Amino acid sequence: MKTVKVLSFGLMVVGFLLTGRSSFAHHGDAAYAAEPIELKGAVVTAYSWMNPHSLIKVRGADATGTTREWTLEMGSTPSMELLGFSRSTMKPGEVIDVWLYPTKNGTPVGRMNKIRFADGTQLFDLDPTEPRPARADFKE
Amino acid sequence: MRKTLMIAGVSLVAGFVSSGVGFAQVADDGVGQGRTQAEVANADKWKYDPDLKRDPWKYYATDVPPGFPDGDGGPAPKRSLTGTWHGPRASPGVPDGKAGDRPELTASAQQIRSERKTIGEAGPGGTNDPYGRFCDPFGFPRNMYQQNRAMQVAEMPGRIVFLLQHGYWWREVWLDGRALPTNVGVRGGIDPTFNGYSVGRWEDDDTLVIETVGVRDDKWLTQQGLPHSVNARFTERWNRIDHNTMMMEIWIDDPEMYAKRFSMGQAYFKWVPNQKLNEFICIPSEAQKYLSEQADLAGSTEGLKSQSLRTLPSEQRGDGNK
Repeated sequence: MKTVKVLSFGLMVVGFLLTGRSSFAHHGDAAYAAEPIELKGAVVTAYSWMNPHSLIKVRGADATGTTREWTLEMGSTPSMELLGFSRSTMKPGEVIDVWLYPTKNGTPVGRMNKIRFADGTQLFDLDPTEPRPARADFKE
Repeated sequence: MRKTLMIAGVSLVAGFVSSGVGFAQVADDGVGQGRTQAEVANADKWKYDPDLKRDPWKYYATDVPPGFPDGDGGPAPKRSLTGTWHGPRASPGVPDGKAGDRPELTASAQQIRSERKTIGEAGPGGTNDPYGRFCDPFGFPRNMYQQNRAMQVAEMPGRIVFLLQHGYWWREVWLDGRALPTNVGVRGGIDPTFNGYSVGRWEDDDTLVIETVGVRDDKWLTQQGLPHSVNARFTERWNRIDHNTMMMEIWIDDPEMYAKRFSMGQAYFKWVPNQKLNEFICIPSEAQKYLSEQADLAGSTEGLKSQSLRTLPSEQRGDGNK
């Protein structure tokens, strides 16, 4: 049985094409639900500019009124730099509106999708190979 | 006698003035101070230009500052990869290379692969990829493909070094004519290493061929979890296409793991106009923070349908992308 498992796994692997195309994303997003939720007026409690993924912690209420502290991952530092982020993008205490894809397992962690700052500027989490939003959309 | 002394004195002064002018000329162009005319011209090419009106300390992944060469940048210098380069997918200007060949795994390779959970299959919360869990060094040749968004190449007598942006990892290739080692992993010999032992030669003015052996086998060949043995032999070709473009392709020959030699694919590199890179390091403490505060809570993604929430059409993103 183990042999069959190994062989079938091997066939699956053989089916993989090796790629010279470097994977940009560290990993996929299978852990997260595909519909984003919004936290309006969330307070940033921590912002860690780091690798393999930067993290934002925010405390805010979802549409049901439930207030929780969420941890949101973003891309690696070079990929987020392409989208206008940096180590100085936000600070604890700052109030933001944030859209996120929550985990499927219910833990309060998610994938950041979009941030709107108090001054109205917005930052997005987009695949860097997609067209970059207009520079005016970015917080410089 | 007096006339003779006078002539000698005038000659001495003239000679001194003459040599002084000569010295000034040498000081201006640098020739005569151990540098050739070509080296001096090359140094001028690299001199900082304040008229570029861009922050010289900033990495411009997508912008081409005015005044820098765009396009192909003209003909390639002969037998040189020196410079700072964008790697695969670092910016829209870097083209994708040809994908690698389909590998034919031996039974040993299939057994090893079956024990590996890639980050693509299990996510960072479920993978056992040493890079995915601990940011362990990729080692060669994975470090030349995955996350190799940018790097610098430097040449020194008898050697060329690749200075990778990610992790500040670097590897050296000897061009001094030495042979590859034959005593890797034997008692009294030399140990296998993350990057192995590399020698190279210029096949022509634009093509550098590198052979590598002695790479540690306790790391992954690719992020797809493919293995290699400590006896694997790698052939790497660098083609300097024009001034602003070069292309790399690596083949692995490893009979213990693969039925035949195969290409791991092509990767293009583009000239970074201001030659400045940014920092991209994954350090262990931050990797552990990411796992404990995010990835392990999100859990393994084994069996879940793969998706990317950064590439869905905007209409499927709800308000998240309006």
